[in-house]
Amino acid sequence: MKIRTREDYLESLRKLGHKVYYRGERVPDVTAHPAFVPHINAAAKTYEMALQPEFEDLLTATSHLTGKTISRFTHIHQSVDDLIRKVQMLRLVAHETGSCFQRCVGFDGLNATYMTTYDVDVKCGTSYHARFLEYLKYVQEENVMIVGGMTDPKGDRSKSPSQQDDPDLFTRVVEKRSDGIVLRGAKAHQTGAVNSHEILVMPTLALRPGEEAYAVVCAVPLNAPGVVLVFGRQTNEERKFDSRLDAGNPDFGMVGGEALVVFDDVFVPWERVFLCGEVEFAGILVERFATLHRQNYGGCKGGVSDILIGACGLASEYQGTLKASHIREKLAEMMHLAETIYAGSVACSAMGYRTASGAYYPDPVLANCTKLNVSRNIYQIARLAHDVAGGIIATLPFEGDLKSPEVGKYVEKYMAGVKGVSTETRMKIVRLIENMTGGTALVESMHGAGSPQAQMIMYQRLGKLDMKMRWAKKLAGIEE
Amino acid sequence: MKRVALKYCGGCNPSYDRVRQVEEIQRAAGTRIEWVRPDSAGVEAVLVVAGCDRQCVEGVEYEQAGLRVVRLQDGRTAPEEVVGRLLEERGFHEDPDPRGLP
Repeated sequence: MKIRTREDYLESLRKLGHKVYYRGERVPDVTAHPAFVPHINAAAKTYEMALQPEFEDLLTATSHLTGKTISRFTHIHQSVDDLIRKVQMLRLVAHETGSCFQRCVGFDGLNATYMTTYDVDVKCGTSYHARFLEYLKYVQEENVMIVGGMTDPKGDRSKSPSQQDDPDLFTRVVEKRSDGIVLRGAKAHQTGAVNSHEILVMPTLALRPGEEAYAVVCAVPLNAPGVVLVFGRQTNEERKFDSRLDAGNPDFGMVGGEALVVFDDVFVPWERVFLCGEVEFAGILVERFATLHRQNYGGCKGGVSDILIGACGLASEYQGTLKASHIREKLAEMMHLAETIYAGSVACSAMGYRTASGAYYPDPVLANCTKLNVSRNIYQIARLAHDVAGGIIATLPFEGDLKSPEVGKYVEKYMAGVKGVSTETRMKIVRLIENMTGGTALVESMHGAGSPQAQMIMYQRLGKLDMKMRWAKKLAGIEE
Repeated sequence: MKRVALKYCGGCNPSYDRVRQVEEIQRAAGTRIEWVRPDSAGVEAVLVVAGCDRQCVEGVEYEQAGLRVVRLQDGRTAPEEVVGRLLEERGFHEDPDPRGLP
């Protein structure tokens, strides 16, 4: 692993020199910009923890290609145990960050591409898989952070890629050369993009004949000429600049830090192209990526929920309500909701299976079920958090008020809770709850890894309604 | 001084503070134990630290290598008792409860 430590990671980002824009201005060094530091800290945890004896058992794996110890975030799942360990790892890292640590998207892209390039080669006689293996060795050796580039802007959702008035609304190949391809388009909502090294571009939906230009999988360094990143504004974005207390989770921020990644005629050499024109494989690639990504959500969101539940317990303790039976009940309900999503992630992993490529794959229906539950349970957990913590989440004065020579004494006096706990301590935990339950933090649970309707469509496709009807018929004694 | 390797499970959802518990054991051991990584040379015993009853890391491979293995899976055992077990000379086969400390 070339990038081993936190400092290695930061240095690699400083050297990258990629074009990142924040509020319309180019950012020369993302590691020094307060808008990005929390997200960088969260991703850096994945490097730091791999070196800690108490965490290495989950954070590292043995490469099936080289036999070397690698970051699990670059590993291809070799067993059901690997699938379960992935989920355990995600819950673990979330306990350290309380927010998204961003590396799972690229991880899932690598695994989906591994399986699919194998299948393409078997059917089409291409050599994408061998090419991809070389790329994978590089990723594992260098331990680079990959953005999983799936979501296209999509424009008019009622139209397919080829029907759009602007053909660039889905990322496409605009030119094929002897030495590579030229890519144009964009990927939206790209988690961790500003602090990653490369993007693995994939199609966003199943494609039809005539849409070959959109059937492209390729790896692009984020500092390649023509790549531009525009950071997305988050809820309470400016609090990253203001102070530590008001930020809630000042060191690790909120969700992943998403960006729009634009490809303004970007050249990609053939060595980094893993699908180009084989439209019949776009759908299965998307499905595999979605399944692998939905598998995660009970792990990371389960872990983040653990922190939120702990924060609600502390808020209750600080305001003297922890022993109230209804508070205890609500905390238990929050735990139930969190363990339910975790159970889903473990279940889809336990029911995973070996694909033709040799890589293991979670059960798609159970992974789908997990993500749909996340889109509901996380909102319910947040609702209970608001209930337990009280209206102070919405009305708490600024940190500046607490520190003000004029009104600080009033904030200190009237925002106090139980004896022995400082007002500042109480304010910190209230702000943490606010950070984890509002705006961007919730929306990510809804739409990350696909919106709920995408999961409903998966049930319609894979839910085996015909079998269920057959079983019902048999029990009812219907023979016609 | 005995060379004892420390092998943790990954710690996905532990039921006690594994690191703090190990620190207390290390304090209790003082200079009687030299703590090393499991892949170090000359390891004489292994402390396997699991965060919960599932024991994702069992340490069977160390037993098969003839090393004394002591397993920790909760924070209730007195540090001095763990140290005593690690310093014992008898092999794991004689351990009355190889799955955990009595």
